[in-house]
Formats: sequence, structure tokens, C-alpha cells
Amino acid sequence: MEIRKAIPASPGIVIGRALVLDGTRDRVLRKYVAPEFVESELARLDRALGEARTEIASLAEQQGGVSDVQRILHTHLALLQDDEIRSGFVSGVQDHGFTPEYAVSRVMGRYIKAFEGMEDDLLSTRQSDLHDIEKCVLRHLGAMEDKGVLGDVEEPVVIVAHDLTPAQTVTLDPAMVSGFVTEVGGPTSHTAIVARSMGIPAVVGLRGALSLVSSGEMVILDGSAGEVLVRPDDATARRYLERADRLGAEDEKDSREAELPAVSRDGIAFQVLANIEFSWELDRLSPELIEGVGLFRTEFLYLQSARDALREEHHVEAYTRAADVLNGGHLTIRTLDLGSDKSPPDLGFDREPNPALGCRALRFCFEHEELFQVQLRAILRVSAGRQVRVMFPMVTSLEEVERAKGLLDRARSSLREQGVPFDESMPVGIMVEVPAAALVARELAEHVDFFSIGSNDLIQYTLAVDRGNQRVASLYTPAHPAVLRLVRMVVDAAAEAGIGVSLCGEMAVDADLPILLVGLGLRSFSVAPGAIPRLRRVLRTVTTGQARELADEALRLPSASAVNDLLRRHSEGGPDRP
Amino acid sequence: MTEVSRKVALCNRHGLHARPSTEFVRQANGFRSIVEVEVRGQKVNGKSVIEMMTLGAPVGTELLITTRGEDAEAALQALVNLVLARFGEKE
Repeated sequence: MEIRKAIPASPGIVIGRALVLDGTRDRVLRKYVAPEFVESELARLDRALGEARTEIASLAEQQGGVSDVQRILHTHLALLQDDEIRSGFVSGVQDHGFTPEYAVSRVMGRYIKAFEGMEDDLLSTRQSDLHDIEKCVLRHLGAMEDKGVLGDVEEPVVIVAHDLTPAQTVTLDPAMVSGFVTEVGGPTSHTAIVARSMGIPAVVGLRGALSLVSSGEMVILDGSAGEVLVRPDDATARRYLERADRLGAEDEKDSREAELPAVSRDGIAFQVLANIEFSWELDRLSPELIEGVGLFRTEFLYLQSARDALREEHHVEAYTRAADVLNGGHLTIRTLDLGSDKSPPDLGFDREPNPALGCRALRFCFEHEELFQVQLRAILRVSAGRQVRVMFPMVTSLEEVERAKGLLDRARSSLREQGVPFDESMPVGIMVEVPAAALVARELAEHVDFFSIGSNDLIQYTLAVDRGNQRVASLYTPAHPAVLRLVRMVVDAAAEAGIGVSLCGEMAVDADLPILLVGLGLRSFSVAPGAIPRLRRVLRTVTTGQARELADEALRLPSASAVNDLLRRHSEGGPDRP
Repeated sequence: MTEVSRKVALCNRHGLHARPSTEFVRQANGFRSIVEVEVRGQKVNGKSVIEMMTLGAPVGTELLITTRGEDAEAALQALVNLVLARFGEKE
């Protein structure tokens, strides 16, 4: 038995037979073409390049759900379209008279070498991108046969390779792969990303893996510890099998329990929504856990390209995709929430000395009404026949609410004129994430259909702390009575006006805070998809009466540390404390 | 013919690796101007992914971006913004 430790890349334990993929590069021999064939050889080269692009583009298209893989494929596509690379190939054939095969191999080999000296792991993983491109073009030149990665295996195997190319991994049959071991790579390498998105254990960066294992040998892979055991003895194998079973059972229990209703001990039901930016973020949650989306961020539509940001159809497509994943639950779309700290290309953001207090979010949209109309019209269009809600960020005053609603009315009338359908009663809400908005919540509540408390910004603006700044990060205290009192004001104002209120932000996934939030009167939360199962479990342990008492006590306390002490005493006493 | 340049430091965690290079080139190709990127005296074609990748520029590296052509100003602004926005990476 041999035990090796390398980089843990994707958690889980698996025992299985190895399939070794020998990734050594077939050498392409230097051959020349006769001058009269140069032209037809160049045509063959361009044909192969075209076919390679088509292949990668269609692979990227098939990858709807797994966006990291898609990004890698987009890089490959960009490399295949690169003028410098192509002119290197062409010059090899035209000026040196090489065959296209050799010209390709020579140029790529040179670039691969250029990356060899680079120290940064992530920078050097680019070598594998170049190997992929080379192989792909050579294959289309007919120089290499594509045998398929798995051949004809009959049971799931642990793949051992120097490195896996994205093109290889997307064509793998996930049912026949139980784990990955690679010689190179780090936690952010292609294999690691793919393994995590497939939910398969992986260990990467195991030098010498190819000479350590032969195909057909038993291996144990512990993707959490980064361990690989080759030819394990019986006792070890048994021990790992038991551990694997136990891990599987715990996972199953977690996900089974997560699907229980999110109801307090005294029978009060909670709503647990998701914060997302891309619809695929919901892919790994079971449908029972997706009650709806409390925050759909739309900034990605602006950060990619200014041209797309101004295309209404581009917005409609993205919103439709997200709404249709939900089948039934509502989709709360937050309008553009960007500032000059994260400014999209070409949209007219100027650098500002203090972006957090600058021309951001609604303020920016008011300055660029036409840009805002594109988004508002798209949201309205998607509301037809779907449960869509619109939400304005960074509201500080009643005038802003009125102005935003006025612009929404303008979008409504333009759609009406064009006979385009939309939901006339689409709920309109605001983010309460600035102390000013919380303090006039009662007045604002009369003008909107719902509040969403954005706890991250509310804390930042209330305590004047940038959590990303190391020197002041310790002052970021969600349990500060100032924050709690503002939350209570907002919840009370919503209750008085009879409108909905939800809290979105990390405050809801903090260790002991959910119970306090329940005590402050919140019944609806929106958190990152990965945090949903845990929040639902925590909410099931709460008794609302007790939570109320605890919150009332916390509101009277003078400081964050006093509140934290109270919470600590409470959690040590257990949820059944009288 | 307008020619403009600006220096900007890489502020995304992993520097000019494959994805940011791809994104940079994608945007650069949206403009008609010539785009050049210079790092420590090495000047490359800003519309070529491979050239950008070979710069091997880690976080903190200062890029000198030069654009030349009728839409040089807009191109420069867009590319500088992209670098400052960490190529859209979340960190």
C-alpha cells in the first residue's frame, strides 16, 4: 500500500479502480510541403481551425449550467480566434514550408514553453489550455485520432491523469467516473472546478501519479484530506469504506431534514428565499428548497458589455431564464446596484473619492433614465404570466421612491402603447439598507408593496464601517443595538402598513442572529443558496415567543458586546430554556 | 488619429490569467482602435489573448494601455474600467 498526500480539490471519499490516462504528447515530426501545395495546405489549416472553433463553441453551448467550464471553453475559443496564433501557424507553412501539423505544434510548443517559467499556479495552469488547443487543432487536421476518454469501462472508475482538458471532462459520462487524481493543478484548476461542480471527489497536484498507479489497480481517494491510497490493504479499505458510508449517511440526513418545512417549534411558518445572480446557482438545491428568489442581482448584465446592457432583449432573456427555473415561486429583481467602485465599461461612471456615498444605484439610474428604462421595460415584460417583483436599491427618501415609481409608470405606458403585455399588479418594493430609509420606513411603507432589509449595507452605513477594510473590519458588528433597533423600526412599519418585509444578507446566516431576527418580527429571509438548508434547520429550533423576549431584551442593551453575551448565554442554555 | 494611454494596476486576485485576458481581448475587439498593452517594457497586442497571457502579469502589476484610432478614447476608458472592475470577478 502506498499513501500519498496532495492538494484536496473536491471533498468526499471514494474507493474504486483506477483508469490511467497517459497524457504524454505525441510528437509531431517536422515535415515540409512542396511550394505548389502551400496554398491548399493553408486552406486545410483554416478549415481545421474553423472546425475546432465550431467544436469548442458547441461544447460551450451544451454547458448551459456549469459556467466555470463554460468560461474555460470561452478562453479556448478566444485562443482559436487569436490573430497572433493564427499568423504564427500561417507563417510556419508560408515562410518555412512546414506542414500545418508541424507549424501548429511548433507555435504552440513555443507558447507552452513561455509559460513554463511562471511561478503563479494559476498563471501556469494556462499551459494546459494551450495543450488542449494544440490537440484540438491537430485532431481536426486529422493528425490524431479521438478515441474518447473512457473507452469502454463497465464500472465507475477513478481517473488518474497528468491533467484533464475541459474538452475531455465535458465529454465524460459522469455516471462512469467516481473520482479524479491529477499530477498537476491547484484548487482552482480545471479538474478541481469540474469535480466540484459534478460533486465528485478529487485530489490534484499529485506529482508522479502516473507512475504510481496502473489502470485496474484499487485506489482510495479522500478528496477532503487530499489523500490517495494505492493498492490499499483489506483493513484500510474496510476502514475507509465505513467512513465513506458514514459521510454519505450524514449528507443524506442533512438534505432530508432540510426539506422539512421551515416552521418554528410553536408552528409559525417562515419563508426562506434565495439570493442569486445566475439562475444556475439554484441547480444544486432540491426543488423543495427553492421557495423563491428574494434577491436577483442584475449587475452582471452591465459588467460584461455596454452594448448588451442597453439591449432590452438581453435583459428579458436573463430574467426569463431565472423566472422559469423557479416554476411557481416569485422572482424579486433588484434594479441596477452599481457604483463607481465597480463600474461597468462605458456606462458613464466617473471615478469618485467616496463611491459608497457617491452616485450609485438609483442615483445613477436617475442620471441615466434611458438606461433605466431598458431594465424597467424588460422586468415588466417578464412579469407577464410570471411571479415577478421589482425592487429598488439604495433608497434614502420618499422623493426617490416617487421618482422611481414614476419612471416605472413611464415604462408601463410605453409598453401599453405598443400593446406588449405585462402584469399590471406587479409588486414594487424597496431595499431598506440606509439608516435614513429605516428611520422614515413608516412614510415609505405607504408607497410600496414590500420592504427588503439589506443587512450588509444597513450595517455598513449605520456603523460607518467598510467590512472589506482590514483595519476597521472588527468594528463591523451586526449585533449592534443601533442595527437591531433600525431593523425593528422597519419591521414594525411594514406590519402597520400591512406590507411584506424580508431580510436579505449575511446577518441571516450568522451563527446566533437568526433567532434574534425572528424575535424582531421577521418571518421571511433571503440568503445564498448554499446557506438555505442550514437556515431552515436553525429556524426549526426557534420558539417565536422566546425569540421575542430575547429580542426585546437585546434592544434595551447598550452595546454589541452586551448583545453578543446575551446570545451566548442563550445558546448555551439551549432552545428549551424557560 | 487619436492616441491615448493610461497606466492602471491589476487589482484582481490572480492577475492576468486566462479568463481576464479573454475578457480584455473580447472588449478590445469591440473597438476599431489598435490596442497595445505594455508591462515592464514588453509591449503586446491587446487584441490577442495569447499575447496578453504571455505577459504573465500578477496582481499589482501596472499595465500601460495605449489605444490608437478614431474610438481610442472610448476604448481606453472601457479597458481601464474593466481592469478596475477586476474583470468582473467576485472576490
